[in-house]
Amino acid sequence: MRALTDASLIDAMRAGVPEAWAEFDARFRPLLERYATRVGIPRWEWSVCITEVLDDEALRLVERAEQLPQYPTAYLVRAVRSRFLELKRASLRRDRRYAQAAASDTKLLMSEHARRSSDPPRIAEERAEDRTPATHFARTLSAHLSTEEQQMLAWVAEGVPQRMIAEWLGISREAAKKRIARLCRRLRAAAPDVAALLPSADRREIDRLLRRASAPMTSHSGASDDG
Amino acid sequence: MDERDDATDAELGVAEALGRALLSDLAHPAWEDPRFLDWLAADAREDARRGWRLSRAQLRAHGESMMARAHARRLRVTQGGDAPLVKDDGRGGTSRRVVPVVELGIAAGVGRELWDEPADAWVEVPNDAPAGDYVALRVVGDSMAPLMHTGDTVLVRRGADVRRDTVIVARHPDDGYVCKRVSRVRRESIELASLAPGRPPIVIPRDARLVVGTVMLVWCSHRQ
Repeated sequence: MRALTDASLIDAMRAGVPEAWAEFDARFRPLLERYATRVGIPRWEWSVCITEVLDDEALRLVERAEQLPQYPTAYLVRAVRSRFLELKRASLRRDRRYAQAAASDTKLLMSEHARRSSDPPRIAEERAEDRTPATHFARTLSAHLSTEEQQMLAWVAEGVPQRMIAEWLGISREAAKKRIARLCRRLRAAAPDVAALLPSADRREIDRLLRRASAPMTSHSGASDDG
Repeated sequence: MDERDDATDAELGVAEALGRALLSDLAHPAWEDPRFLDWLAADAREDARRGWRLSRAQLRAHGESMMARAHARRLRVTQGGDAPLVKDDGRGGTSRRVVPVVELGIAAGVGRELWDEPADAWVEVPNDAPAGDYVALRVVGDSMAPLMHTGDTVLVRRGADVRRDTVIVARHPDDGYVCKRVSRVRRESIELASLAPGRPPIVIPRDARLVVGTVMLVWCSHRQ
């Protein structure tokens, strides 16, 4: 079973061979789990999410009469991503609905969970973090970078290992390591200057973002750990 | 600027945080690249298989449960373990909803109604099932193979509305009662398909009197 190509594996699944289904699971689940970990999907969400996606997509691939996707791995990764985004959007919608209900007179009818999760200031804080100020900040900062550096930054954020980045750029591992370090240092140095240009409300957000990334930036004392 | 050739964790952290902020939810260029995925997949598989020690029978069972789960999700059927059989028919004034279990094979083709048969077993309807008129049936035959087997009990919600990609119990003009997947609904006929491969679909006229109801739940005793 392990030696089969993806296409013939799916043919075997179409014939209803249970071992082929087990092999499909074994073949793609580890990859999807790594994807979920690296992209930062919370652990309590990904196991259900991945099982559902594998089940659904297995069935869809089996029933699809026309050609298979060219890269089944990429196809499944995309499926996991969209499923996860769906879940996220649903939870946002739910929060919004709770918040609306909390604002209206129906508050008395709500469950304890709903009331707690509709606490307005907390929602505002949590949601704002990865939204506009941070994105705006990152855009301003990355305007100073070259296209290649921007791409490298994206790879680093996606958790692509450095040896893979090196292979992509066609340089040695040492060189890639050096380039990434230089990029990181430049960003770190430029961050306070760019942050100073933002309005003060946004700066607090950015401050929190950077502190969470373990880089205190209210003073420049953080630079002392270079020594 | 010193030329150390590796970034500190703090510096990498900043880069990662910024990169994440920069990436919109929909753009993950690295994860679109098949070369990267192949490389990562091989790596992850080796890792996972080191811990995989399944016998052939376990492998088979794993595959079968995956097939059943996939079909159940798509056909909107809930899966249960052992059927919650009860001895009495619940007329004792309890608040539980109890329905009789009828053998699907018995009434075949005799022209009698399914629920005219005397019942010798009852099952309890789960609390979270929506309100409605239920009947439980014991499956005969393996045509719905990964999802239902001979001897499984299914909970059927009675009603004549038929939707595509659900499992219904219907009366076939010649063959008695069948439990099949609805593969197509036409204006004047309904096409029913089996899940097991190699069985031709059957077509019955679209008639409310022929449809018993929609399968909501499968109790499959030899699983889980």
